[in-house]
Amino acid sequence: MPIIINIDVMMARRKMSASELAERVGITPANLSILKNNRARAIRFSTLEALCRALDCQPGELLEYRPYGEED
Amino acid sequence: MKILGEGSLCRLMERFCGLLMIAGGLFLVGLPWILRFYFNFKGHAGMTLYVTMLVVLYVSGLCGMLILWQGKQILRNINASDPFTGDTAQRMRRIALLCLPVAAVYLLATILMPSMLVVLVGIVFLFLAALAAILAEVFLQAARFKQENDLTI
Repeated sequence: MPIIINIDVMMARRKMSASELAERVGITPANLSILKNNRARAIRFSTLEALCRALDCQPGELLEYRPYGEED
Repeated sequence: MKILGEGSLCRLMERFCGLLMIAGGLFLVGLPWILRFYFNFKGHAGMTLYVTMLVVLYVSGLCGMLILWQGKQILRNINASDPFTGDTAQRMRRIALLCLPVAAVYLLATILMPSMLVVLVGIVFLFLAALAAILAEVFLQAARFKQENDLTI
């Protein structure tokens, strides 16, 4: 998937654990893991808003576009 | 009455499918003797009719048992609150395929057993085969939508 969600980077900056972030965002740890591992097909604006609020960042800091062939 | 969940119609139907399978199995095992008894009771003569009915009932009985097995598994998926899966779609497709031999054997049997009822059963199973094939595709679409929804965070 060319759209990457860089949650790990922001979590490290804010010194927040996965379970704490999941609780603040209002999603299950399993769903947070799906986001972190880039297995999600889509993200709701409400979830993106909650992530930005919890990590005190902009959507652009979380979302990155990497075309096919440039992914890890 | 509850339709889904514990103590529901769906759970009852799943168990009923199991009971029907047991009863059907016993009936199929004893079919030659049951049919002979019926023929003697009704005073029917003729080996041709006996063999025809035996073949029709064995084919439809075996296919019916397999259809019940697939239906039982579908009901189990529904009771597990996970109806929209590829597994359900595949089982519906198998039911569609299993209806075809039943339809074929009944329609062919009209040659030796000319009866409106026999023709009707054949046509009904053809209709059921088509319906099950359509429902299989619908369940496959539903499984895709569900997967999309499950991966939307």
